[in-house]
Amino acid sequence: MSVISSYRTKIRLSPDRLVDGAIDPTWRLMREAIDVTAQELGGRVTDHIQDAFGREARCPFAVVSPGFPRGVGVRVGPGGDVTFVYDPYDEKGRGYKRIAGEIAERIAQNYTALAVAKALGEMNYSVEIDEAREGSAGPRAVVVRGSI
Amino acid sequence: MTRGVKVKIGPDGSVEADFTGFAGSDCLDEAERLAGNMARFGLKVDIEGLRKKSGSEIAGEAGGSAPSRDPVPTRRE
Repeated sequence: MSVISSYRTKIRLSPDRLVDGAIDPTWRLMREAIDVTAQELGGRVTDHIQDAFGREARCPFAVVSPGFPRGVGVRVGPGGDVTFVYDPYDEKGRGYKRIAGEIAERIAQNYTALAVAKALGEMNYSVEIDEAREGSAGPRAVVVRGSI
Repeated sequence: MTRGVKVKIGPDGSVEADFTGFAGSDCLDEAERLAGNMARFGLKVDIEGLRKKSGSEIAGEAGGSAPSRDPVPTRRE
């Protein structure tokens, strides 16, 4: 029998970055997802974002890209829940909600893909990751292929 | 036959895993193992559904053609 299974996922990191003196694997994975996202967008990784008035807000991880230079940050709550922080409005009230939301979505998508790849690796699969779109302007999907 | 899985991750965090080459109910066990391992790597997972593939889908896999690839594949390091 062959099946297609569907999952709904939510990212939940370890509440503590350091566990027994070592960086927790979920935090390492988030750093990896942030690195990949920054690379894909031609941006860089920082530890803070800026609001419309140039004020800085610290966060464990953030991606700054040419399309949204004030940055999208990742914050981790006491229970490990992940939230994305950014200021989508400028002083003239113009919105950047769409581009900031797309960056947040991409970080989450890349994290999920990396976590799936790691999970399959633990199950002894050989894994490769591709990116795909439906048509030229369709939504981006990440495809993880495993074989054993 | 090589056993495999193709996992598609959508922009909304939805995950769809397509298992091929498993005998009997082995793929159900594999789907549950995958969900358990994903949780170890920071993903809270709810299984939304399991769908048995149709005869034509299975026949397509066994047809011996090259595995289908998504357009614009981009290898990431």
